[in-house]
Amino acid sequence: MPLLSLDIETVIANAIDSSIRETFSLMIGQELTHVQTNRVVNKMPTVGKYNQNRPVDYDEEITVVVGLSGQLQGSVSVCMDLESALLWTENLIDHQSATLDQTVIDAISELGNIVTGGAKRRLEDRDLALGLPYVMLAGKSRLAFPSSCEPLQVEYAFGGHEMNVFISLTTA
Amino acid sequence: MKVLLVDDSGVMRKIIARGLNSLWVDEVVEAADGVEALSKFGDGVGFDMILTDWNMPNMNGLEFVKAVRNDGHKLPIMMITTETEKSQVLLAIQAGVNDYLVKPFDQETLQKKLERVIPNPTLA
Repeated sequence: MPLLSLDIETVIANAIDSSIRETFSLMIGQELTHVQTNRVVNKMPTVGKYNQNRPVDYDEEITVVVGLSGQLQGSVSVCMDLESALLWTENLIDHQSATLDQTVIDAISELGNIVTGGAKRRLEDRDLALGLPYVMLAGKSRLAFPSSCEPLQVEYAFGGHEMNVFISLTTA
Repeated sequence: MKVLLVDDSGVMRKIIARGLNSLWVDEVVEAADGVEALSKFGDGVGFDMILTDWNMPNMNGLEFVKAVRNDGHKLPIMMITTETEKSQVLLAIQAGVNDYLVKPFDQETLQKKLERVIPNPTLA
């Protein structure tokens, strides 16, 4: 599958950036701060058996992944730590919890839905279709990508915590 | 005032129900898809408005709206969705949708939209 040209990649990254900022601003009244954008170079997980020096904490981070198809194919993933997930959920629906529960997972799924739905709206000419979001109890250190794609990692600050969006798309 | 709220996301139903409860809505009946919504809507007696998502399993919002209109019900229906493509909007209007609420939205926008569609009985 062909990689995206820089022009198209910029348009997509801007669409997702606008969408996630709008989502946080409108839905919970919080402004995101962009920290940095990088190309993902190491496409293998950086914990577990791939890096024995780092402990594996299965429940400290959470990721929602939404697949896209159409003229662009791949996925958009939003990774955050548990505290950020709880903060998002509390602000969104007044649900207070000290641990991950089904409501938090539903709220993070909805975040994936709204962000990718907003990006789809901004990329109308790409004729995109969204898949159902799924949630992993794992963070960015456990994500892996095929060598055929060149994902972008966009880091934001949310409530004093790090939140990352991974854009992994190719043209169909 | 009684509203039928249809969305497969429990989180989204909570957000919208919170907005409805801050208005003059007495009762919010929730359903997770078009099939459940039709079952709860029954003959429609007592309902003043429908709020429905578009993309849902089993029966989507568009099919649900068509079914309600085909039964001759004229109550206001608002679609809550991320779909804003002209062709999609046209489909919804043709199916009988009266208004649109685009996700994401803030509580103020939700309230303004609802006030436009649901008249405040205390002001009548």
